Order: sequence, then C-alpha cells, then structure tokens
Amino acid sequence: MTRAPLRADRSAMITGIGAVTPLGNDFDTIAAALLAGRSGVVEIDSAGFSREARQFAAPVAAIPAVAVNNSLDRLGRICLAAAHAARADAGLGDLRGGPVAAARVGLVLGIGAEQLKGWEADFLAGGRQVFSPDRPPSLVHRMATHLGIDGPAVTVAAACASSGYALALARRWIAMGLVDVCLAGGGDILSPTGFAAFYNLRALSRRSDDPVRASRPFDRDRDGFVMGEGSAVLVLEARLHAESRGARVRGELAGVGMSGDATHMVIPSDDPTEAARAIQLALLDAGVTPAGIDYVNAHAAGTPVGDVAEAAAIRLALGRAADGIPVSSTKSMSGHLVSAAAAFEALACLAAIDRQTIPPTLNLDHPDPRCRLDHVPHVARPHPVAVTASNSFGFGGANLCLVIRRAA
Amino acid sequence: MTTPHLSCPVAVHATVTCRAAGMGALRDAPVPGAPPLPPRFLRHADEHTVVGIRAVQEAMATLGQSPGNPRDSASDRFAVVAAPCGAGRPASARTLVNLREEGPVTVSPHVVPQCSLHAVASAVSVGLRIHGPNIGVGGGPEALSEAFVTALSLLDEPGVEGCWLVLTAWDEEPVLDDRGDVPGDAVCRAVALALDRAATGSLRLSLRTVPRMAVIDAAATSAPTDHPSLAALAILLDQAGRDGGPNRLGDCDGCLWSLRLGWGAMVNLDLALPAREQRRIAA
Repeated sequence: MTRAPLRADRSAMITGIGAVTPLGNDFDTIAAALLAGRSGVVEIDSAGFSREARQFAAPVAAIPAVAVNNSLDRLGRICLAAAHAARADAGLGDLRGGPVAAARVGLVLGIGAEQLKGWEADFLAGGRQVFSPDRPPSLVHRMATHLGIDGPAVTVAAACASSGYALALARRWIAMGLVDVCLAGGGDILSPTGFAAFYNLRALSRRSDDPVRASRPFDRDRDGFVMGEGSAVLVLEARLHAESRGARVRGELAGVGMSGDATHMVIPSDDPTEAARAIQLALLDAGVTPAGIDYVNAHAAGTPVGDVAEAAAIRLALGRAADGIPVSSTKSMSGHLVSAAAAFEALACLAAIDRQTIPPTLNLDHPDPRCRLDHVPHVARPHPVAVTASNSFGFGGANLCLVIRRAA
Repeated sequence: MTTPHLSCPVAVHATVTCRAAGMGALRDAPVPGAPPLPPRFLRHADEHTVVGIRAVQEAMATLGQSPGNPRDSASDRFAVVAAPCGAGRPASARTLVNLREEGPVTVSPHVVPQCSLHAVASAVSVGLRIHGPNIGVGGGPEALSEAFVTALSLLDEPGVEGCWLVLTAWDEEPVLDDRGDVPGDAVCRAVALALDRAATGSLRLSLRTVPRMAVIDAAATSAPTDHPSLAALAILLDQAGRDGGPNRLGDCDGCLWSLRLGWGAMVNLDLALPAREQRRIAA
C-alpha cells in the first residue's frame, strides 16, 4: 500500500463551525469571550457530583432548541446542536438535496465514553440498560441519519485528544478521496461518574473557594483541571469542492502529527520525545518550520505533571523558535472539555487567525519556571497570526498536534 | 470524485477466546515468544482489554517466529486501532451500583482509563510499548465496520508504519447480575490483525468504494447494513491459519470474508497469493 500524496485540490478546508460550549454557542460569541478573557467556570449544583461541599465546573449554559430531540440524551443533544450549527455555518442545507447532494459526506465524532455516560444517565433515572445485552446504535449513526449523512460515520476515542483525532481522520478521508465533505468534532458532558473518577484520581482542581481562579495552566500554584462540557464540530471540505460552490473558507487543517508515549495509562511521560514528535510530524505534514508558527494553543489543562511535560515537548519540537512563539491555554477560560477539547481548541485557533489576536491564559499569576515559554497571561495580545499549532494529549499516552492556517 | 481502493497486507493475525470464568488466569499468564507486559498490568483491565492485548501478544509471538520477517515484532511505529463492542459494561455496572449506594467516594479512579473507548488501544500501546497513535473506535454494534475504515485510513498518516487492528466482543452480550458480574460461561473474543505495507502475509485487507452517484438513493446510510459476528470472523481466520482457508464467509467473489457497508463500500479480507505464486504469474 502506498501513501496517498496530498493533492492541493484535496486540502482540508474549514468551511463551517458549530459549537455548544461554556463560552457560547456560535463562533463570534466564543471568539469574543476568548479574547476578552471571560471564564466559563461557575459554581454548580454539587448534588451527586463529588465530595466537595461546593463544586465548580464549566457547564453548557443552554442547548439550542433546534436540536431538542426526545430520542437523544444530553450528550446527543449537545453534539447534534453543534453539528446542526456547523452545517448551517457552512451554507449546507439538506445534505441529500442541497449544494452537496452529489458529494459523499462523512461524519467523525470524538467521544470517549458514550456508552458509559448513556448507561449512567439511564441507571440514575432508574433504568437497567447497563445490565442488559441490548446494544442501541451509536450516537454517530443516529446523528448521521438525522443530518442526512450517507457517507462513512465513525466514533473515535483517544481520551482528551478524541476530537482532534476525529478531525485528523476526516482530513485523511478527504485527502484519500473517500469523502468530499466531512463533519468532524466531538462532545462530552459533565457526569457524576466522570467527576468522581477524575476527582478521586486527584486530577481536578480543589480550589472550591475561588472557582474562576481554579483553572490556571502553567501557573506555579495550579492544582488540577476544571471539568467542562460541550461540543465543537467543524465542516471540513476538499478545497476544490469548497471553491466550486463558493463556500466561505475559515481556514485550513494543514497538518496532523500523532504519536504514543507508551509509558503509562494515565500519567504523561516525563520524556518529551514522543509528544515532541507529534508536533514535529504536524509541522512537517503542513510544510512549515518552527519559525513559521505564529501561535501555539497548548493542551495545558492545569495539572502539575502535564503542563511541565507539554512545555518540555514544545521546547524540544520548536527549539530556539519557541522563545518567540506565543503560547496560551484556553482551558483557563473554557475548562477542560475532555473529548471535545481538541475541536474546541481548533476553534480557538481559528479565532486567533480571524481576529489577529492571541487569546490569553487566565490566572497565570506566577509562571512555573519549569514551563518556560512565551506566555500570554491575563489579557489577549494583538499579533499577526497566519499559522497555528494546537496540541492535545490524552490518557494512554495519546499525543496529537494539528496545524491550522489561514486560508490562502 | 474518485473511487478509492484501500488495501494492505496482513502480516500476521491471531485470535483469542476466553470464558469470563477464566479471565483471572489470563490476566497474568505470559505469552511465550511475545514481549512481556509490565507486572500486574492488567489488574484493573476490562475483559475486552485482556483478550485484546493477549491476541496482539499471540500475533507478535507468531511474527517473531517467522524466519526472515523484516519487521521487529514490537513494531514500534505501528498505530493501534482497537474496536471493542460494548466494553467496560461490567465495571461500569459495579461503579454505578456503588455510586448509588455509597456515593462518589467509591468511584474507582481506574474507571476512566480502563473503561472508556480508548482503553483497549491504550493498553496495547502502553503494555507493549508501541509508539504510534492509539485510538479506540466504535464502541457500539457498528464497531467492526468502523474499525476497518479507520485502520486503513490511518496507514496514510505521517509517521505511521503499520497498524495493529484489534477487534473484541462477547460472543453473546451477557446479562449482568445486580452487582454487575458476568456469567462465568460468557465468552469474550478478540481478533488481532497486523496491517503492514511491507509484509508478504497470506491475507490482504481491502476497502473498495463505488462511485458516489451509484449509491445515491433513499437506502444509502452511514450505518453498516448488518452487524457481523466477530466470532464467525475469528473462526474463519483460525481455519485459514490451519489449512489455507477453503471456507468463505460473505458474498464476495473469491475472498475469505466480506462486509458490505451501507455507504457504498465493501471491506474484503482476501487470501493473498503466496509470494512465490505471485512471481510465477508475473513471469
């Protein structure tokens, strides 16, 4: 089997954005929130969520009514709402009869624990699905039916990098000619089991007396991440196809790099070699040098170990160029959207390109000296942005980097 | 729109079958000739992970014994694509029962890394020190069809030298008791396929599509048209390994096994001609 050469006419252009997030449900609102340094972290009803008397998270404020569908649970409604919005943003109507009727359209969702969350919701409502051998269709196939998508549909999972792998797979399908258009992204929801598991793993911040200041990536006093929820879905489209229908192009998913630490099921490796290799592969794939990167959206969730490991990987991958490349973590505002994080952060990169401004890292009062980077603390920084890199790392040593650039 | 044809030799394959009652012994049993797992690595692992990683070890052991095979059995830059169907259900049931009865303090920190969709792929990667990407696929009844298209697609990614494709399922989804335990006679099964462009294996995995306009009708769907049995595939592979595989499954012409996808694609597992036979025909 030979590798399919990446043809320019099959470059993966981003022609639609849809999102349901703690910072808003459309691109302009989210971009404005990110650049204003607005936090989506709030105190939430702690019933059933954890042992803390006061619990905080970054929840979705409202799910757009367009997607309310009684056959779907909360995760399904959030994902479907984002996909609907992405389809509309791309100017695509009915996929069977609209401007892409002759195209093959695919759907890839990064969802790490769809079954677990479905069983949980049912069980806590008095159901017994988890004990039953019945296997309902996966959300991705139910959504494909709802959206009129008749191409390949797949759920992928790589923990906190899940939706990044969804975007990578969609791009590959376009490059190979398997599809012309692909909706890709991911979704996740707050859930009692997930909350308790991460809490008991000591991965969550316990700064319950000051929720808005709890998510503090790269800060000396960080103590874990803040759970978030939401969905982000992008429409990727072959360049020639997008041009032929006059689609508005918001950017290009220009490069992908992926690797595995292969050291631990939870803890990132303290050897940055593999994480750096993912970044280097993405740059190579996109045909850009480290000096050609204008902004790095870091995975940095605010965990003591993870942020140090990522800083080392960025330094190893970018070398001396790292001294002059702005780096920020938008999880300081959005919380950690887990399965949806990578797609949301791709959106943040598009916001930086669109507004020519780097979103800040909130709460970065005292940068950890072990995370020596060109940070953007507290407030956004106006800066020319044409090429961005977005890192995502997940349990099981999953490493991913996406290079997103301004459409040529 | 082109009509791509994705294809890759299968360097080696292995199948593993285990009853729930035998899962404890399988967790700690070494596989002769295969890279060992870290001590107690599978202590918290789901049943799908136990049989899945064991199948990869069995395949690695076979590969390591193949004379002249150019590949290191650890295949350091291979991707791992694992497609469990309904994995993590027993542990999830136990977690939920405990959560309701005794609160969140009882929720194990292992439930996310060991019961999520990525768990099998991650365990194969970490346990066997494979540095390519590791990805869980599917999770539901469509897992098998989703796995093939994902694995064949990943082979084109930069830095990916090959792919371990791991498929796991219970032969029949078990009914769990009120504590989440699985009946002892329930059978969990795994198939591991090593997809390697450089290999000259006896099997070849391919995915063919038909032109888009040929399938545009009301019946076209992203979902597979059926949910094939992993057990049937595993049995067929075992037979092929023993006697060259005269038996066939599916409706393809001359292939070992096939799976028709609803969106205008067909996955085939073919018996490749031996290298010597290929050379003779070419001459």
